[in-house]
Amino acid sequence: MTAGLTLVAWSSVLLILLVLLRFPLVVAIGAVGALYLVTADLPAGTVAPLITNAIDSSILLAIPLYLLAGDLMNASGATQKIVDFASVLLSRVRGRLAHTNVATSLIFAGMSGSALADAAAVGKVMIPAMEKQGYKASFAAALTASASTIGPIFPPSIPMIVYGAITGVSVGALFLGGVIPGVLVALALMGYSAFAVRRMKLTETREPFSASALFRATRTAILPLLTPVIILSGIFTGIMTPTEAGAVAAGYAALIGAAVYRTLDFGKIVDCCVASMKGTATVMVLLGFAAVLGWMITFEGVARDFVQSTAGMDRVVLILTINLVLLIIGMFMDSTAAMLVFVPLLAPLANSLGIPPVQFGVMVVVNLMIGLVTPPVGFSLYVTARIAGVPLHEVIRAAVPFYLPLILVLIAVVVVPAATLWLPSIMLAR
Amino acid sequence: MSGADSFVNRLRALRAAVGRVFGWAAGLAAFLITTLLLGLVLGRALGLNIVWIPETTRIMLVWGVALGAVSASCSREHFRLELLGSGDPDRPTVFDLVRTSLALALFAYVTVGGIPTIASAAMQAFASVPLSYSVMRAAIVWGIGLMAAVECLILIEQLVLYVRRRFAGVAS
Repeated sequence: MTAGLTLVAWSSVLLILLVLLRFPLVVAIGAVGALYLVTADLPAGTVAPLITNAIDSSILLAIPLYLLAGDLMNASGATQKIVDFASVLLSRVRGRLAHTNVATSLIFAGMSGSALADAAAVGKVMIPAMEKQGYKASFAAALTASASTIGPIFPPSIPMIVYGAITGVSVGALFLGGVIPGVLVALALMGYSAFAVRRMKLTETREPFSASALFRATRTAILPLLTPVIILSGIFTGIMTPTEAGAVAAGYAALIGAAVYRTLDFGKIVDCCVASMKGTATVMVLLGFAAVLGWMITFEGVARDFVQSTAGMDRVVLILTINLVLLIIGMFMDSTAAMLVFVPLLAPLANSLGIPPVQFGVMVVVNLMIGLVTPPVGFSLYVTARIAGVPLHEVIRAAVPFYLPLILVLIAVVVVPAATLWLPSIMLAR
Repeated sequence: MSGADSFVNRLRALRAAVGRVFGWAAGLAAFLITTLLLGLVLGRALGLNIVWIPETTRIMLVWGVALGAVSASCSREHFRLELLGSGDPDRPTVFDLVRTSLALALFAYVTVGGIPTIASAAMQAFASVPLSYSVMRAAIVWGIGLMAAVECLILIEQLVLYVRRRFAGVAS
């Protein structure tokens, strides 16, 4: 093992140790980077420029905008209208609320791009509603957390924006690459839910499908339902960049809430702006400090050594190893920090293995999003367990069966390149 | 209420107030970024090319992040692993003191090292606004410096509570 790879191995061990000892992630990542600078006798003045350069990005500017759009949609009550629409659409299906939960997450995914925003928004409406109809609170929380992973896979997606910023891959192509996997995750979760609800004693009623009820629900929810259409058509027709589409989504959400539903007042808009920038800051500060580790990897030539050390190894074994490594990293680290530290290392390896950059980007995001519902660092589980008011270990236990559909989609993304490359090839070729 | 409790409560009230003010300032940055980018899209639709907006919004993002990070520090919202319990802020342990001290040391290290780089960033100017990159560098360095100050406040709170508990234990 080269000196660079040894350094990364020790840094990873120290990082995981500090995270497990409940150091804030930003401190854990920053401390590892600072320790490297001190031991390598490099000046402390290296850090501030690296952090500034990492944060100063017109691509990353999209993060507060999509968070704001999601917050405004939720504060305006649009989430409830989307839930009502999905519920009417699925009124004939057994386990209607479970399917409604997943369908709502898919629709909300087209607006916000953040799993935690989706988990909080959908969870606040769906978990109490599901409990009332006889679903176990732990099941409702686990399903909501699992469905929230659709948020960053289906466009727009904050992790894909971050991936694009690190690697220079087109964010538009990554967004398109995430469409089919996002829909597959929704279908897979619905498939498992259909199986799971057969053993539950539910009190929910299956109502006959009513076209007039669907028309009424659609009319009420049509404005928020149009948000993904506006965002995606704006980006893919070239009218606006993904970042500008975030601003349009936030402006549109504010307009709907304030002028149409009249549920958003000045105070709520201020609260949403504050929450979105604070949420952005916690992610971006992490991203800034992780840039020091990314720089360390580049400075030490670790990516090159890593690719060289794998020369001659079996391609299938390597791809399997990359996915296992990403899954394990996702269990311990926030996706942004994980991408900043490990993507500069893994992307050249994926390139040498002939994996197209868009497919690899989606693969990385799907792997890391599974980490949102796995212990010990399962942020979506934390959010939904808190909303459901049940102990975390119960939600973790209930979430275990949901790993199977998520892993199946991951396998599809890895094995079937067309799942991620077909849409970009037809939409961006024009 | 003992003198120590009253002192800690005052420190916490100060931290909460600072967090609110910085949160509002960060929120203002989010509002301005959204408004300016909306203006850019609408302007383009009307055939206008407003060249200063992209750089201005990037500067605002960096400032918004710095202000928001200080606010998040005040309310202790930075991501951390909470699986093994979140700890009781009124009963800090030696581990809590170590965690806060390391955060303080890290942020102070970055700030002290970063201050001289603010001036050097002045050499690099923006293309469309009459400012230099030192505006962004200053936001990051002073933002992290303020995060160090917040950690210092938290460390004082924890030390007071820790010492009081230790002495109470000895007294009983």
